[in-house]
Amino acid sequence: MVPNPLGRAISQILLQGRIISAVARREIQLKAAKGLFGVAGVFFEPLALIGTFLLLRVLIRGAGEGDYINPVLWLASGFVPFFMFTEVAIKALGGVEKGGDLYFYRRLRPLDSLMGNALLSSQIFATLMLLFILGVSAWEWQLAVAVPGFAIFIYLGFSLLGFGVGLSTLILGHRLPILAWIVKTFLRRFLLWTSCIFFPIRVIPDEFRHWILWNPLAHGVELFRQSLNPYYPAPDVSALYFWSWVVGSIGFGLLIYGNNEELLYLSEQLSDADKVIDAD
Amino acid sequence: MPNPSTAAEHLVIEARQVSKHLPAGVAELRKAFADLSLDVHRGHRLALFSANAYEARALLDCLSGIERPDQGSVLHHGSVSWPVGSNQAFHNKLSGYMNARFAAEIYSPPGKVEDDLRLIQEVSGADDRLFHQPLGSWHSSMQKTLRLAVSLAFDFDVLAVGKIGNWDHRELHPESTRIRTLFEERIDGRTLIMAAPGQQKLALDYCDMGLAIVDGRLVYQGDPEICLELIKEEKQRTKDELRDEYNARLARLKDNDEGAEEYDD
Repeated sequence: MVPNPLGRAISQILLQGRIISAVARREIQLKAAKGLFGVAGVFFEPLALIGTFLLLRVLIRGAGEGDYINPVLWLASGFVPFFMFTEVAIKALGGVEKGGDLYFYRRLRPLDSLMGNALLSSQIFATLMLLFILGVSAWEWQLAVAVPGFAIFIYLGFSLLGFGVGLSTLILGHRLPILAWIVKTFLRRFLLWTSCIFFPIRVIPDEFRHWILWNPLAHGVELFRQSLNPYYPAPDVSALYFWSWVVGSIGFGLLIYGNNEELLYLSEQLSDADKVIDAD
Repeated sequence: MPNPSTAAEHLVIEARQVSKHLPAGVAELRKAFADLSLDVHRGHRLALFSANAYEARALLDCLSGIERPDQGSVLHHGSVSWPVGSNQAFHNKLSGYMNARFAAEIYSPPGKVEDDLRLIQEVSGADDRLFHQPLGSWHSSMQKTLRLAVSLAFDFDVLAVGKIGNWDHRELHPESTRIRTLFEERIDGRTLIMAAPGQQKLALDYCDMGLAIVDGRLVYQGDPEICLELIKEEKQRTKDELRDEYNARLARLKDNDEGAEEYDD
């Protein structure tokens, strides 16, 4: 009997979905097995940063944002998507070695493991964001998100962008570990200060704005804030630019991954021929 | 004469000029096998014999796909299990249930995950409480049985059998019988490849073809009994060589000692 190609494709997609969710579940189980701090630790860094900056705002009255969006939610809407993006990208960069034992099951490909990790990080940070939204909504006694669909759409964009950037640099980072280190530092340090997390884009003068708006994360953060309040001013910010980066990075990442997947399976080998103990 | 096209259709594993070296100490390698080509057809029951256990096991790892050969290629035309009895994907911090579930999510057919988990629990002999305990707290023999149960829970076109530690297939104990029944169900009408070192009886009982590897080279392919004899002879030859070498060294040392005593006198 000739198998139906469409049916086969659907069953393959369903199988891949099942494998990805199994990897994500295993990751959270491993975090939970480390004890309470295993899971809570994920929330700690963004919460600590948000707390610190909120404290600074309280001490220096008038600094930061607050006219359009609740200050806590304004900070959270920058930190949470950004940390999710870096977590997804960095895990994709280093996740292949970490998940090495999983490839014992040959049906599981490195891409499944990377997608599973990305799914879990996205779920964890989505939960954190939801907690902030619900908390602020309860505090102000009105729903803190004006356009929930748009918020979800942009949030997914962050997750996919992180995955795309991680996947694009994965193969190069595998070959040149120094490059992986540079990308990690760039993601963690440089982008943190240029992604509109601490300042709204409108406060940047027109002539300097393009120095910030090359960064797709700055577009994403400001768009996310617009989904909370459509009147939030975000001059020159473009959803098209943001999504072009998302689609471009995923496409480029999949392209180089598809051509180099075999590289990821190769372990370091002691290949010096003169060191071989040969029975001959 | 077999029809070549039919024979090609029934091919499940093709190994072409594969070589593999394994780490032996710091920055040194030893040869497991070299330049080996092999066709495995559907329904074959093949035992791999070698004087050094690592040779047969390394070849099985390459044929099953959990290891890549240093040179050459291994092609699969169907699903091939990992070496039954081992499982590097198990994590000691996770419970037996979680480890088994992860494997089931990957290999069970849709809608069969729960059934396969029940089968794994039954074959492993773990009760509900133990099954949900971290694997690290399990007795090592129970861990081995769980590895075996997970390996046998899913359908593969080719079953690769590595070293099975704690199962005597000839025993009449209910647990052994349960595993034997499942094992025979899994190989029924399918292909079996087994690493024979350390489990010759199992190999002779279930395999109808053997491969003898000596010094990393394929020296004979055919009757498993003959393979076993060849390997026994090779082991004996190696032992004799070693004994002669040691005796010669002892004699040299003795001569040196006597020479030194005469000099002292």
